[in-house]
Amino acid sequence: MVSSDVPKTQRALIFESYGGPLEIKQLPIPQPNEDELLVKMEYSGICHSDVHTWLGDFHYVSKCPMIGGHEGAGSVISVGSKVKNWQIGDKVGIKLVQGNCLNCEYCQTGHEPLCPHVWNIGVQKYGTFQEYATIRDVDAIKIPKSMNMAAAAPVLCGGVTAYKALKESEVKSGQIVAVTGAGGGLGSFAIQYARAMGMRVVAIDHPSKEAHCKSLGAEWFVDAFGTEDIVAHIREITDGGAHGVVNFAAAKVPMEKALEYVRKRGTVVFVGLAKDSKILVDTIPLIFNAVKIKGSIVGSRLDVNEAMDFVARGAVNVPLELVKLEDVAEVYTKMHDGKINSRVVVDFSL
Amino acid sequence: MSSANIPATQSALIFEKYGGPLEVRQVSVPQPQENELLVKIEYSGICHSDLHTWEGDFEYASICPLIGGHEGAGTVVTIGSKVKGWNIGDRAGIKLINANCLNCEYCKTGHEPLCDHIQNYGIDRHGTFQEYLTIRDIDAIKVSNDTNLAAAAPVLCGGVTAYKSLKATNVKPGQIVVLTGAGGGLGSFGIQYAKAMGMRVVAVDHISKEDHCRNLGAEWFVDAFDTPDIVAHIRKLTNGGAHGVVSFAAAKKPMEYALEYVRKRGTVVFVGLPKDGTIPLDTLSLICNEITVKGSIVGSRMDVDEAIDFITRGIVHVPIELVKLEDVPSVYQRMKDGKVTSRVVVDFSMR
Repeated sequence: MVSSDVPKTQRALIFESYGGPLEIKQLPIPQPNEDELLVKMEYSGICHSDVHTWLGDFHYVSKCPMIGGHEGAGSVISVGSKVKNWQIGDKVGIKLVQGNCLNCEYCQTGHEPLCPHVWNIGVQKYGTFQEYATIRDVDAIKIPKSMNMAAAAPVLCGGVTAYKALKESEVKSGQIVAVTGAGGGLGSFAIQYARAMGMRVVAIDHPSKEAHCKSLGAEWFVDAFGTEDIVAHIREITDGGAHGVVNFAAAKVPMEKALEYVRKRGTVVFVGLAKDSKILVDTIPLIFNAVKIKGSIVGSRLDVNEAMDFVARGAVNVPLELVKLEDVAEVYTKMHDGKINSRVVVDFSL
Repeated sequence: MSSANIPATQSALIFEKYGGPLEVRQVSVPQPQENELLVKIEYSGICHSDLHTWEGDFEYASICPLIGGHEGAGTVVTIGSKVKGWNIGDRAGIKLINANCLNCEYCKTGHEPLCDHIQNYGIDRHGTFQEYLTIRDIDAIKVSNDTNLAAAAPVLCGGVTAYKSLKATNVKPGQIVVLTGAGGGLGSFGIQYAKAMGMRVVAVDHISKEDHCRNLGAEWFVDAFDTPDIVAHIRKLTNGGAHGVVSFAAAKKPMEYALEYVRKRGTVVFVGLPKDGTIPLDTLSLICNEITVKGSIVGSRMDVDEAIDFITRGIVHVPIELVKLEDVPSVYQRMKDGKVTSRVVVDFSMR
């Protein structure tokens, strides 16, 4: 069934070559398959990985031309004939990972991002920087009607990525987690989620981010660039090392340093994707200190539901900046320059 | 209180400089403190790390001259005045780690090997290659009368190290674990414990160890040196990669390969200590496949109790070769040559 006022064309932000112009064009509205929903997009988060996709950093997996965006929130306006449990008007979230097979060992154990069959919205399939998008019903995230939709959008990638990584750190309430790249999009969420989960936070970033990090709830701030011996400093303020480290900074040095200031038996979780991703690990102290290194990427549908709930309950708040679809190109530049102090969300009504 | 016939001197295997002669000498029998036991050693395992200690590889942490050995099993012959819970004649195990402070966050959470205050028998304290040895009462492991004492000795370091590292993999019964250096001292225990814990084992080692590994229970054997593309081979036979890997092999290459053939969301546990342990880690594939890398070192008192229980119940067996104290130097040579296919245990009754 279909809502009555679906137009024939829509605005979409598209690029035709990597790093090339980001233009708003009028495109046909996609038609949902029998197991899909058609969603009218109201908000879409903007992620650092959208910038990387546009620059071609993921060219080995991404398609071009591409409509970016992978944190969409909107309303259902059309329901495919085989869809159950969705109604016209329901609030729905569209997340990065789509099309998991439901059948492999990763799908069966709730680790859908690891399914070999997934594709990614805004990377291999047209994303959420368009006014209407289709999505398979089981991939769609139900958003409670009472929830602020603008706040819901960035949880679908940035929020859940931060939340899931904190869970992987195995840091318990009352213990200390260090967050690198703490003032960025992922780091901002992480400070808020860590606090909501009862962790004490050491925020590590450029000094221009200090006030922002502290206002989000960081107990300590460490200047990532101007601190003389950052390892000794963090070990001192945490009295022996952080119980866990979540590394959002997409660079080698913070990754390598984290292995030195994590506590014995602590866990370092790598999330930020550095262009030069190879680091050196000294396995001797890793063994003697029983340290753990983990990789973490986005999260499952259940992780998204949990992450969304923190925001719906008001336990997690990250400042939002609303922009027009036309502003995305400018936002990418500010992201690249490290000038973003919050989550930037496209408001399709602007 | 004391047993009646403790001599004034004892035989001990001592070296006075790293890599220098290993000589059996007569030294004084130590006197226990009020909170210590004096144990008459009946058996002592010989570990690869004893060899490393003698060669000076741990010189930054070890004392010299030194009596080596850190897997002792014997009988209590003297009890200090403040000791509770022990009697003359009880059987006691002596493990590598002792004297943890009991008070730090690692001691309080049962991770004693990580305490900053520990001492290590056979490294910074005279070890179990002597006939009599003192140990703090709470460090001593109670060994039941039903346990074969010669079989219990090597569990105190090698056995518990293997057992604890398998727990660290998070591999569940029915899943596949790969063990590198599978035919060595730690690996042999690794295969047996993995089987006892319900895991399916891929043993990776030199081809001369194939029969030994299969006898212990490995379901698959992979030649570590002559398999053309070991990563592709292991991924194929495990249908997508091992759920966990325990790297006992003390070399860089097996560590690096393990990161490539472990399954998505799998865990690689590093145990073997190479001289140069720095390896490259590709964080991109680590992140996209959600892999976990862990270090693991020996185990706690609880881990030792659990590991010995498998031996007592008879579901973990590793072939034991009994030797004289005087034979330790030749055992070290055979270890260096990769010729030891079991656990070698000093039997102090053989003279």
